[in-house]
Amino acid sequence: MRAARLALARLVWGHWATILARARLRIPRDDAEDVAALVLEGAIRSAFDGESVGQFRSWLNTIVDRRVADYHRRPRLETTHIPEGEDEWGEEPAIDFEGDTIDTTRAIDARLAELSDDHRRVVEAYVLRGGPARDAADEVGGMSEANVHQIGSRFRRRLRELLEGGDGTPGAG
Amino acid sequence: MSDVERLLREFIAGHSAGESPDPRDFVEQTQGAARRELTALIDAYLVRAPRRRWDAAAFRESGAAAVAEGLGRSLAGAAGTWPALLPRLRARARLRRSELVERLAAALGADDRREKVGAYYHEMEQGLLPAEGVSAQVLDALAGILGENADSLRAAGAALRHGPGGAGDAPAFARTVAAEPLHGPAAAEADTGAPAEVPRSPGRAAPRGAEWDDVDRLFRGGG
Repeated sequence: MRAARLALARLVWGHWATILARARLRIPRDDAEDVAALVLEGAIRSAFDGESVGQFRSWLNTIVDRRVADYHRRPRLETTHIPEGEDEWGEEPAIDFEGDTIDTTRAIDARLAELSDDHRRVVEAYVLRGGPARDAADEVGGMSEANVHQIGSRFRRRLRELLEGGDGTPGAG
Repeated sequence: MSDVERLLREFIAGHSAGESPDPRDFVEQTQGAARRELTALIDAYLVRAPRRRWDAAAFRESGAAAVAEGLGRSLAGAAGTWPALLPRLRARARLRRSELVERLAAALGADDRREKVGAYYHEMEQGLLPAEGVSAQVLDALAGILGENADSLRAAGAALRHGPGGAGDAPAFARTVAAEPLHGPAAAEADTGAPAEVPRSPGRAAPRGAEWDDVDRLFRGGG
C-alpha cells in the first residue's frame, strides 16, 4: 500500500508543475490549480478505466487543451456571499482567452514537421528546450553555432508570421 | 537577443531548475505580437518539458499533495473521483461544507434533516458512498449549487475499474494499484508526503432497506 501511495504521489508530482504552468498561461491564476487538478484526475481515471491513452504525457497535454476550452465555455458561478463577516468574493478578473494557442501548438508541430531532421532537432534543442547553441550544434554534428542561431531565428520568424495572421500553412514563409 | 528569447530562456531556466515560475509573470512583460509569440513558445516548451524529479518536501508544499490525496481517496473508495472532485468544486464555489449542506438539504426538501444530508454528503466527499445509489435529484441539486453539470458529476462518481490502459507511467501505476490495493491501515507516509488514509464516516451507520426514509432513498436508492 505504501508503495502504491508513493507511486501515486510521484506520478502527480512529476507532471504537476508543467500542467499547472500550461493552465496558468491561458486562464486566471486563481483557477489554474483547479484546472490542473482536473487534468490529472481525468488522465489517471482514463488509465484506470483501461482507455487507450497512448503515451501518458501526450494524453495529459490533450486533456489540458480540453479542460482549458471547457473552462472558457463554462458559465461563471454567480458571486457568492460568505456570511458571518467573512470576505465577499468578487467576480473573476477578465482575461483574454488564448483560444488560438491550441491551433498554434498544432502549427508549431506542422512547422517542425516540414524541417529536415537535423534542423528540427536544432529547433527543439535550441529554441524549444532553451539549450545553448553549442549543444544544439553538437547534437547534429558538423554545424556551426551561427547556423544554429540562423535556424532558430528563421523558425521564430515563421512563427511570428503565423501569429500575426500571415500565411501559416506548412511550407510557407 | 530579443526580449521574447530572453524571457523564454529565463522561464525555461527557472522551470528546469525545479522552480515553479508563473508563465504569466513573463508573458505580461510583453505586448501584442511579442506576447502571442512568447505564449506559444512557452507552451511549446512545456509540452516537451521533462517529468519533474521527485522531491518529497516540495511535493508536500505544493498543490500536488492535495490532488494526490484526493486521488488516493478516490482509488480506495467506492465513488470514482468524487473524493478528489467534490471538495475542489466546493472550494471553487467558495462554500463551506456546512453552507453547501444547508443549500442541498433545502433543495431536497429536507431542511429538517440537514444533519443526515450532511452525513451523506460527507460520505460522498470521502468516497464511502457508492455513486450508483445517489439519485439524479441529489446530483441535479448538487450540480446547481456547485456550478457543474450533473452528468459530469455522475460520470466522475462511476467506480474506477483498475484496469491497465496503454503505454506510459500512469497505466503502469494503475497496474501497481490493481495488484496492491490502497485499502488497509495507514502506513507511515509522513516521510514521503504521500496521501493519508481515508477516515471512517459516521454516516455509514445509516439504516438499511425498509428502515430508509426519504433522505436515505435519495442518497442510496439510486434513480
